[in-house]
Amino acid sequence: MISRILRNLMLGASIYSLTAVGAVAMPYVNDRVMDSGLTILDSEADRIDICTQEPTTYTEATSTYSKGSKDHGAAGTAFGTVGDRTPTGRKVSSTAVTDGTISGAGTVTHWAVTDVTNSRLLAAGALSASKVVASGDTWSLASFDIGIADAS
Amino acid sequence: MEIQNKEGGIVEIDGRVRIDPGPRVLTAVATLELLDDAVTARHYRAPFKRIATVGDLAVTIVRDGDSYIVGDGSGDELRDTRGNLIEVTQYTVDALGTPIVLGESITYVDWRSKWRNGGPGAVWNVYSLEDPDGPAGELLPVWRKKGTFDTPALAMSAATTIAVELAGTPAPKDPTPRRRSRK
Repeated sequence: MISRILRNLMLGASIYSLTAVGAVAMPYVNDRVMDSGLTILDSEADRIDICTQEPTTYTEATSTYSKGSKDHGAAGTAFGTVGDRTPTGRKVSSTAVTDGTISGAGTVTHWAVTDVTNSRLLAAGALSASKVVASGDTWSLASFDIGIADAS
Repeated sequence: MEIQNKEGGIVEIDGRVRIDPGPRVLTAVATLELLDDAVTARHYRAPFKRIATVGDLAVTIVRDGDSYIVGDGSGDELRDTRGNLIEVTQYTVDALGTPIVLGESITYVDWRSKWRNGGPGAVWNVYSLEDPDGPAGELLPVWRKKGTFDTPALAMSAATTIAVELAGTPAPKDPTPRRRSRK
């Protein structure tokens, strides 16, 4: 072993010690990898709820904290296909909601995207402003993006 | 007593009591360290300054006299009568919808923990299906949260107790949306 190291040094050969930096910096991620994650929203999401707080489970998103919903009726209808995100990365855009129904009175602060077929909470986030809603009302939600940025 | 394993890791007892695992909900004082991307994955943010836009006009709430909870930031930039850009403070909200203010308590979901598949950050939530004539005035029956537990065994014990109490009473219609898999 020692003789091999000495020979390498004499020949000017390098011995590389490689360490991945993934733990401290976002690595490069190919578009195909990002798309596979976002494609779940495109292909499986089918319902959006508006909630009184941020849900942590499917049950909370669709019932416990839900005050209104829009069931798009079939998987693959709540989001469009994956595309480029500005300034970097990839994204999917939600289908705008114009006729969501309100199922109970309260103040909604968050939205939740679910996959009804598999009972999965796929994404959740805050609304830009809270809104007081009443039973029997309808609600709308402009299209919004969910994306992944490139490494910075 | 009938126990069913449902899609998404949900367990139901008699269709009246449900266990649904998820991440832990935590309360802490908002600090820049807590709101760092490494801790909260950019999901919660400290207040920050930005230029006011037309979209802010729709939702502007005065806070502490000189700060604002502003709207969606869309549209053209706003200027004062001298043509200067107007700067506002953008607040985001915590898991309860409360504006995040540094130094004040916030409630947040520990999405970043390894809660999936029963990992160390997971909790098991127990829900009971209740009638629509509840205090919140829901039109539909609702799965109301009864407790959060650190292990599935503790959750099952609590859920079983609730199921026994509810046995023999008429069950509300389950409001959970259902759709058959096309596989």
